[in-house]
Amino acid sequence: MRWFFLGVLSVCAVAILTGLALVRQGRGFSALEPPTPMERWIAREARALALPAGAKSRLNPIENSPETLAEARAHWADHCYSCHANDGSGDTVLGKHLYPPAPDMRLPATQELTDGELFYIIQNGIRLTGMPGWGNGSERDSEDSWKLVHFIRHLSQLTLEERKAMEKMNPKSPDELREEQEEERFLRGEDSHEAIPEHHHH
Amino acid sequence: MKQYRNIIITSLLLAFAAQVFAHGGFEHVTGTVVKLENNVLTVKTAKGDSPVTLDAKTEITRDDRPAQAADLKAGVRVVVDVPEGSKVKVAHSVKIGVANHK
Repeated sequence: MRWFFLGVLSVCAVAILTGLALVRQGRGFSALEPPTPMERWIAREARALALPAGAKSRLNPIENSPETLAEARAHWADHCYSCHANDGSGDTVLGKHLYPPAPDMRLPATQELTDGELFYIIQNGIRLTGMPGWGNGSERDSEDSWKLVHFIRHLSQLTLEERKAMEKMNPKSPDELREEQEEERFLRGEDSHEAIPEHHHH
Repeated sequence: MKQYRNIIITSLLLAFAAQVFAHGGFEHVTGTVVKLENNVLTVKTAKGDSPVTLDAKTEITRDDRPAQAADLKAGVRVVVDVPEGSKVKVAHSVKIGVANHK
């Protein structure tokens, strides 16, 4: 027993010393660096382990129709855009600076998850990442999440027209709304460009 | 002592947040097309001519529909989104409007 505790203490001491060495080397634990392959592997394994039995094999009960996709598109543009971008690329200010960064959901790492896994992640989030759990237990909420699963499958086929329609539904500050209106007036020929101040955010 | 710690933590958070938002957005170049040569679009803005590069990923639209680089004729009004802080100005998107009449 004594040797067991000594072993555990030694492992902890080595882990702490390794961490301190990393910090002192100047690498630190900045969230601006991309996660290491080891971190990515651990995170994926932990996510898989966190899935309760049966969640993976659940089938999507919502029919995939143009109406379903239109609803999910509007929902995504309002709730998911800030981190995942309209096209699921994760190419947004928040998405790129999260740790780990928001993934490109059009790639196999996401697309190879089952519908049940995607639904579980939307509902419950992923611990130690920026992904919140959106589930509130209501039937309506579950339906919305299943519709989003259909939309995630559709991401790689998203058309330019769909993206443009989503841009109009993205959350905007009063300044951004004003900017957008000024630009539209300018493009229609109603204002001269001297009237448009320089903008630096989006 | 606790007060000092809270002030330091809040300052650090604010400094970090400011840095993130200063680096991630788009700069909007608003003006009229002067010319498009070798994938470099020159836009006449209120502050003078501004060159931006177009690449294969640049999204060109008119009325939210796909358009072509050939539509970027001299005198046409455009709003170009360029990632803020980039050394080489590569356009993320170009919105085309009406032509200026002279």
